[in-house]
Amino acid sequence: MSLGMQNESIIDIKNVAICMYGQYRTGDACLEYIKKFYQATNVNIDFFCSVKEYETSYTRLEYNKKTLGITDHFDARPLDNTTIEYQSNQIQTHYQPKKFEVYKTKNESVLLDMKHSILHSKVLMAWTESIMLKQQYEAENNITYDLVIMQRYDVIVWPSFAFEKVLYGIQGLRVGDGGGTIPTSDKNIMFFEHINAFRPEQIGSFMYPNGQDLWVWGLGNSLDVWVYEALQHIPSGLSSNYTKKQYNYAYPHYDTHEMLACICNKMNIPTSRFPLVSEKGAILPLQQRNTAGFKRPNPIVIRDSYWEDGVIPDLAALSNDEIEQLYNTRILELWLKGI
Amino acid sequence: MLIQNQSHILISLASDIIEPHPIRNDWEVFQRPVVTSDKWPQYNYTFEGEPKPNLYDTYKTHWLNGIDMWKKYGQHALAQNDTTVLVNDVDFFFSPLIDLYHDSPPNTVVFERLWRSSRYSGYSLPAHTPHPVPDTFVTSYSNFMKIVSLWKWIDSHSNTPELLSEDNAWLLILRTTWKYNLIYTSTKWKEGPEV
Repeated sequence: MSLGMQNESIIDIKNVAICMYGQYRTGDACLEYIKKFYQATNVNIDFFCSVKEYETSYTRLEYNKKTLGITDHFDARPLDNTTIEYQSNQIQTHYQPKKFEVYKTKNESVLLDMKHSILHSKVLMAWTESIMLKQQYEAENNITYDLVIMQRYDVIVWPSFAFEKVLYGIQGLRVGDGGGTIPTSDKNIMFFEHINAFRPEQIGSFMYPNGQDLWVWGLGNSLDVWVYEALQHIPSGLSSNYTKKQYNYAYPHYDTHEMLACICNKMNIPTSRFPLVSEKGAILPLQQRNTAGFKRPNPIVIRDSYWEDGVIPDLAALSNDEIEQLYNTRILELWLKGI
Repeated sequence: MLIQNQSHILISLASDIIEPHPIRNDWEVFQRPVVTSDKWPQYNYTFEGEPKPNLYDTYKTHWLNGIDMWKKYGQHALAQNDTTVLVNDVDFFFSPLIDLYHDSPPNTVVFERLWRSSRYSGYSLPAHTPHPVPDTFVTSYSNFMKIVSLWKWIDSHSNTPELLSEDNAWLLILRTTWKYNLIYTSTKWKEGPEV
């Protein structure tokens, strides 16, 4: 008896939900790229958008100090009503989300003294809100999405054909078969990249669980379950044994990267890196093929400081080679400097 | 042991029967009739001779109740283990389950009944694998949604239904608790149904 044939399950994606979350930031500069990026034939693509009513820049310590005069990088800067209205209008006009909301952050503000833990918890709150918007729509319309993608407003994914090639690469994939596919018996898989096989700042962390949270795919119910578990790590609005102090000490994850992988591990959600992509198609992680010319999909946070005049060009008009060169020669260096 | 301090209790009922004299009327009830999908007949089951609604349909109904809970209360009221959900088809005397739940670790699901495994389930008796009876349980909102969303997991195989053709409701609920690392216990233990 063929072990593979008996256990095979075929990935079939018809409905795709793009769940957008977090702060809008450079969203204006990214939206044409993102809209173009998520165009694909033979699938239905819907957006679900939740946006925060403040701005922060946790990873930009130098920028905060020099440009904003801020030394406490946990400090959130509330947006005025005009700005919130503008951002909301942009999101609704360009992405035409099936559901949209401005995420109210009053529960965050009373927990700001939690410092490190609240930072990561805030990301969880944004993910949770966006994915639950999708679930509300599913309940109201008696449909389910076969693929859910987490996407930030200020992030583009390179190369520009990554979505289409990964999608078509996994479409029809026989999960559970031994060769050339993903060896798991559960087709409800999540895809994301590693930050690193080990954390370079921490010796002895080889195989430490971590994932790049800037671009995450969840097939079937995987991201739903992920969010139900994530609820365990979000501040409660009710009184409980989890006081601020206890919660702070009890927070189990070093950062959002570890959080992503650890929750998958706890929920037994199979995970994989993204396939390599080129204009010719995709190569899945275990496939034996010539990888020459294939690229690893890479999410890039877009900041105005990456350009000398502070003006972000039309990203949708840049070629993949131009974006790659920009990333290699400037973006990565400035990112590491906290600019 | 961490003792939970529950401050919010919600009830999910999957039935169109409205109790004229509810057992507890100070906990908010989310109720709707069981959806009828006519899908996945392998998840029909009986217990103690009584036919139960299809587990796929029952849990989809509870999931819809759970979405209604979210729409009303939002994430911070439902976060961590501070909201307890009581699950059954109709109104029920939940107090013994709640008491046990409050004395249990946060990751626990308290089912109303467990039964020991038998040939029926495909597991050997020496394993004494306790099988939850899936109709009635008490747990946190987080764990409630993990369990009842298994209808979506089933639906993810709609293009390969033969994969689940040998499956049944008992194995499904057991696998689900294992997969999501849930502890489960009960106030009542019984021998399994006769084959």
